[in-house]
Amino acid sequence: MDFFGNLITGLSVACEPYNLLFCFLGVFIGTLIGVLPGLGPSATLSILLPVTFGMPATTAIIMLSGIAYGAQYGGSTTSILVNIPGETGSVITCLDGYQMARQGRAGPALGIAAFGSFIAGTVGIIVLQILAPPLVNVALKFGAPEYFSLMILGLIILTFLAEKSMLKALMMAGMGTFFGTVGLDSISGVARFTFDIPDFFDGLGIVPMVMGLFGIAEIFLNLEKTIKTEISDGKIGNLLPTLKDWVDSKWALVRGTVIGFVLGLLPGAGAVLSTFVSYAVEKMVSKNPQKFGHGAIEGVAAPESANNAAASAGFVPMLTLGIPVIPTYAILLGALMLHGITPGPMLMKQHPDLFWGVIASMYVGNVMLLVLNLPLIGLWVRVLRVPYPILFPLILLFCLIGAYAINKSTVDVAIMLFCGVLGYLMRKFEYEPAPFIMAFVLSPMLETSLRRSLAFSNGKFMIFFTHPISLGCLILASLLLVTAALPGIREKFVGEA
Amino acid sequence: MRTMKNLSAVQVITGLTLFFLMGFSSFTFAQDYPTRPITLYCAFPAGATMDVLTRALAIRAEKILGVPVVVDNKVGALGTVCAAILASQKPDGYTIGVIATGAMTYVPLLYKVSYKPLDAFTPLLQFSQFIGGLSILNESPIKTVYDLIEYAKTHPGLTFGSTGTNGFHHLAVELFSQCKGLNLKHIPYKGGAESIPAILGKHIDLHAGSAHIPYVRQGVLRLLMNYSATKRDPSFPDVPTLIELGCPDYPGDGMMVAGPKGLPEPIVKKLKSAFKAVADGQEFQNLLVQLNLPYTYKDGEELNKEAPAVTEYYKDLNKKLGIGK
Repeated sequence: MDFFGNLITGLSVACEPYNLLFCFLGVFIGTLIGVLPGLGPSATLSILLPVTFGMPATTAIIMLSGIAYGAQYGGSTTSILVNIPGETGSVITCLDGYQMARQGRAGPALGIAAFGSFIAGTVGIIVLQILAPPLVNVALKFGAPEYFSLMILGLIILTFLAEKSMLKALMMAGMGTFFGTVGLDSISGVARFTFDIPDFFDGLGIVPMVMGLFGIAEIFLNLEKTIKTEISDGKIGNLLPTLKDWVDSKWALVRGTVIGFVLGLLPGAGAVLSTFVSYAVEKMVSKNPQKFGHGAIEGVAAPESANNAAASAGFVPMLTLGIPVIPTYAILLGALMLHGITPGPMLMKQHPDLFWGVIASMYVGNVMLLVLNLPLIGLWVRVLRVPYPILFPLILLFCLIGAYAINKSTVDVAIMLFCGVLGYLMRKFEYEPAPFIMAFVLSPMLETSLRRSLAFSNGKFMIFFTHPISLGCLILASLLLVTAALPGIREKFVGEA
Repeated sequence: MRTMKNLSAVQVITGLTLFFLMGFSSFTFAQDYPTRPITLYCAFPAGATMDVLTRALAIRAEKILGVPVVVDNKVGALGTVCAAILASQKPDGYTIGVIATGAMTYVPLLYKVSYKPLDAFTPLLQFSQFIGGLSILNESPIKTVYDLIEYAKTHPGLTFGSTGTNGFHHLAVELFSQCKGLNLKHIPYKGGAESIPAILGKHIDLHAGSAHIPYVRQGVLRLLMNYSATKRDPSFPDVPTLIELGCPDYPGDGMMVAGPKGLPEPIVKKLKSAFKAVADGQEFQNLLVQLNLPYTYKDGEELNKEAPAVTEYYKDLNKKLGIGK
């Protein structure tokens, strides 16, 4: 069958020693930058792009892709250990991952994140290999009205992240949406809320905001406590997930993978969307929803498998249509062009070696990532033994360097510190930062798709009800809202806080 | 204790001397330029066509200049973020940038900028320019731009997607639509990554941008017309330009290497010859062909001289289109 023929072609390319070496280098670098706050995969790829000029195209793409999906693995590490998401895809992992670490279960949390990433990544590639072309056509069905309604549904789902008050979560989502409007309006180019600060023109930086709201706020909170609360007091417990952990999280892994893959196909915010949608789904189907936010392993397994499945899925539109779903893939496309390869519908036919070689290298790379990351868990967990008076100033230092390093801008550092204070106040008054940051990420897409839809329909809102996918999303969203508004039903789903 | 104090005083003096020597060296010995790495700003995001070109320039210029040329992306606000940063740098030849010529001419007519557009830069050379194309799905019964004009006259409200409001893709098609008396509806997208899926998914009828080339070559899209172009694209000799249709055209941006205002003459000379050599080189020329970009070399002097006239030309066009500050 074609599937195996292609797989063998691909594996024979991917397993050439030279390609293996660079695949390893890629995933290794990816893991590192995933762990370090600030330096993201986009920046790394653009720095390394010229280095690949001397290589054959396939090798170059294998290495660069390795960095892209390797960073997904690393990003969860800091979320779990110190409550600082390495990138937006791992914000949701903080919710339960960090709580697990505080209960001395950092090992199982990191373990399930690594296995979840591996399983979802690998399954994602298999699906990618079989279904790539038909899937793309589904993704293309999503026009502006469909995106808008999907975003609305996403925003409503966000409130299910709330550990306590759903109303407060909705308020946070509203505020996040507002913060997302800062910068040049992408439709008409008008500067909004920029106060003439050039750094604000492209919107507030997501990385400094995340580091502030999560990391810095956490440090502020801990300043209040006396030093005796060492995170794990030496009792680290298992390094790997126990059998019970596996049983608890097996369906979360499956659902996370499916949700991640489907949403990951959509250009734009699909990967981020998939993390919180999968988390919310787990919380809704769980028999004990109240344990979410207090170290539920499903709360780590679902978003981690979702973001990795989304990373695989993102290769579908990229390789088959030449459409990058996230900025990182835009650089990969640039790399393809630099190597004289035209991305697009014909890539699979014109360069089968490259296409299947890169896909096969992802299988290999995922195995490497697992082997690379499992032994690191012991090392990471030991980081938590470092006493607070030493660990916290170090985290603060890394955050400051990280925030500055993204654009070499002191404005980013100021944003981070401001968000640190904001995050501290939010925590104090029991508002949760996760809906805020997720809404912030979705906000620009929500707005442009709304305005674009209205441009199509000459300002008539009916367009959202005449498109079937859009209508479906809106119906689902209103059902969720009604469910939330009627007491009793919500308790059944979410449980008493 | 005494010796320690003396020592530190000596150290401070030595340190200060070294510091000043280092500070002055770049001014006093311009003929030795360059002695340290050069930063090359790029106004476009990593991975964009311009970024690819900037990096290709940098690697080869490095060999000629003998020092590292480090690309630093300063993205945003239609390239004015990068232009503003570049304009504020010391003119010592160690910070230069690849920016669009529009940063000197039409962009400041539309958006507020912090620099004086005509008096902020030392243009070194232009190496290429953006050309736009209007394309349609290949399966459409509309085969040529003349078919389109005919069809659109009886079917008002056809949509065209562009890479952003007031970008030259948008404005050139507006001019086309005005000139032929059509009623085309503009739908703005954020770059080709958004507008290409929109046409492939049949959400828009026409696509105005520069990301269409690979899709045209692979037979998914059909190119109807080129604009912001002075002559026909040799790769698509059958496709007319907007000017040929008897319409005014909105000139596209040039891509130039520039430094801040007041670069000393010897440095200008050195940089010009280095970058010209790279741009003329076979490898760079091949890259341009591959990206389907024209080689439109212009000397910095020429760019500087024509900038005021170009600005006036844009002012007129903007008035015609009813846009601008």
